[in-house]
Amino acid sequence: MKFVEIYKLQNSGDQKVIVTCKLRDPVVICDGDPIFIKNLEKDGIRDYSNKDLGASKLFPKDGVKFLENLKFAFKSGYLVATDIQESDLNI
Amino acid sequence: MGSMQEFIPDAKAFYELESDYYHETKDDLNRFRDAFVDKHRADLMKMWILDIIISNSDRHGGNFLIRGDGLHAIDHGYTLRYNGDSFSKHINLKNGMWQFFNEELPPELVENIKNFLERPGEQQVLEELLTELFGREYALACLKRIKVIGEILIKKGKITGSEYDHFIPIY
Repeated sequence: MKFVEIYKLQNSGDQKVIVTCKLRDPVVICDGDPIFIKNLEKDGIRDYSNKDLGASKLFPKDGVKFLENLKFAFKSGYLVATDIQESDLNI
Repeated sequence: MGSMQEFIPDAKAFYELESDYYHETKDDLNRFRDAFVDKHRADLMKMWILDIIISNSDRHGGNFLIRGDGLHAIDHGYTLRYNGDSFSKHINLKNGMWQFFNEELPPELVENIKNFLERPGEQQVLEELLTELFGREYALACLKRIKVIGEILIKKGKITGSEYDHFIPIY
């Protein structure tokens, strides 16, 4: 199963997973911080494969393409998304 | 190459802010966004000008932090025409493209740009640093944007959409 973890930097200096987004084809299901997830679901993220800034956004319903673009949307020291990871386990 | 960053404890990204937006109506969304913009107008304006100067094509709710009344811009990975993105003039807030054309910008912002333009030594330092990191072409384009924006702001204190379209997208 493909998944992406979103980490947030804590005051302690540690990074903590606040959201995990998992591909449940054809959609992505996110678990974790409910406010963050609601914003992700409502606001979506930019499609970074499209150079047109006015291009349509990506939402969890867009499946693997949404998952692929998370690491471009969240790439700061404060909020960072991993590359797509794969697990045989049903996490 | 390394970097040094200031840590902002207890800060939240815009994506972490709870809102009544989830009640789904457009009025809820507009109320939330308008209240946020009103509260942080001066900081958002400064961030907007910064993004124009550095040609940042990726300002969204995950790329600035909020703590109390202050905003802190983070994540400038898509700047200085990185990756051929088109030139942005928006801050993306809650599915809305925010901009501040025709609005009086904070006087301290205008004053800071004016001071910079009056100090060729500082301009030289910035040019050298940017050239070292990004190359001379991008460094000169960035300095030219500061000059063009500064001249408009010193004269009028604000930028119109047509001025932006005609003068600002300098590569």
